[in-house]
Amino acid sequence: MSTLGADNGPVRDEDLHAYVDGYLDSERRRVVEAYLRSDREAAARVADWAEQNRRLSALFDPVLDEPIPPQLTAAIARASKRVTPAWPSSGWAMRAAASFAILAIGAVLGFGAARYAGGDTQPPLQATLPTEAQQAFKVYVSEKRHAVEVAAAEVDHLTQWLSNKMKTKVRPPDLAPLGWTLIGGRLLPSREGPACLFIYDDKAGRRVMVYLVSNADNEGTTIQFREHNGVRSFYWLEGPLGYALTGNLERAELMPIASVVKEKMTF
Amino acid sequence: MAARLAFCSGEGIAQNGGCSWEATGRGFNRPRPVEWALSEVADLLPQHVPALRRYARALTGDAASADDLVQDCVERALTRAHLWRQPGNLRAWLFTIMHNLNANEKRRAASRPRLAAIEDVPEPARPASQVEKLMASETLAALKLLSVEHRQVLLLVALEGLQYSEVAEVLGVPVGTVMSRLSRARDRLMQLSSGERAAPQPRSVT
Repeated sequence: MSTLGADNGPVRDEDLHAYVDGYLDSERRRVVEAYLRSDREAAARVADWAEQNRRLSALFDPVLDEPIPPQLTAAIARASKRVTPAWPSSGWAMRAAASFAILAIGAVLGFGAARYAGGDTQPPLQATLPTEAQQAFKVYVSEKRHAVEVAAAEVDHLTQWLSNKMKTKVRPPDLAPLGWTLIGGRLLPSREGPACLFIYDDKAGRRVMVYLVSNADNEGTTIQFREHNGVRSFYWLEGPLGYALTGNLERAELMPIASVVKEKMTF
Repeated sequence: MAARLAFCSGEGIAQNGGCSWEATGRGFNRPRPVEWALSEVADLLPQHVPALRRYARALTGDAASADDLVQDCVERALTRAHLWRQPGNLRAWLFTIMHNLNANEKRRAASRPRLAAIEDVPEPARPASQVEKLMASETLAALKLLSVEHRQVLLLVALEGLQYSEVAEVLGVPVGTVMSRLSRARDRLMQLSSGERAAPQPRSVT
């Protein structure tokens, strides 16, 4: 849903909600922003709503990183299994696939539990990674002149500089075949020490960003997805680094890019 | 392989079909047997569980009832996997199941009403400042006072990031109703948590 109501119509209550929730296209967003500059009461209301969104996320997002209760994991496995024997094409491949699906559910759900079992009080990297990447995205998505510290023209310098900082080889993946041009990169602080951000744009001026952070325990994860207020990330841990590809594209559009990033950035 | 499974999203399959299923030579537009629907739902469901738990926790305000609700939802989704049509939005479908279960539960419990107690809210991931803690408890208390209809709409939009049309689908109401509930919920929450500023009437602002 881009806009509710006609693009050129007056700014309505619905537009203000869609503005706060990130559902306006850029043209309509500019109209609403211009309107908000002229109506301070509406601007205050919009700011209040945005603050509510932020507080609700702060209150309940930690649930996402809790270990899944074992009885819930068991219920999923049970419910999947119940129907399995009824599969008509009972070749070994189908049965193997079924067993695998149940194992995979356990693996995905159990991952958080394993991390918490160690009495680790700090949230795991896989919990903070997407949040940090999305925060970086929100800051730099609209930054025109100073989005990057080193521009794509100096890609070798960028690679060397960030590799030194990250203490491992990091080179921005080439996403040109998918229509995404590297703008450049920058260094960012993170809980895990230095992090780096590579920023890309396409012909329409949209941006996606690759965020890299050091993964001290070298533990790997599957690719996971998180969305918050229209900002979407695919993220994973592999080898010495944690990776997140973030954008405000539709999930289906973001997924193939994440796939290429993962493929090109294997160490 | 686990990575590929986790990678397959409801929308992803629907829109680009780029998942491991391709290797089987089955197209997604062809009608699929029940067992395929089940295995798709079973594969895709786990990645939605954390968000279902978050929404259920915020909605019910109670960790135990929230997880009961999620468990019922997951079981229902798997036994009715054949009712999920590709291309379809699995996330919205799961929230719809949860909404219907919660509505049924509410009807059953109508004779023995009890106030939802929001007490099992997780500790914030990072130590919060005193001010943040105060704001959080204000928001929490205010959320508890919203009507269920308002809380649902607000949480699906603000917390779960569902599109307004998806919220309409989940709740089985027109988008116009979603918008008016959202507007009232936001103004009411602001009123309740600040206690000072009166909420302005929803209106056309030009």
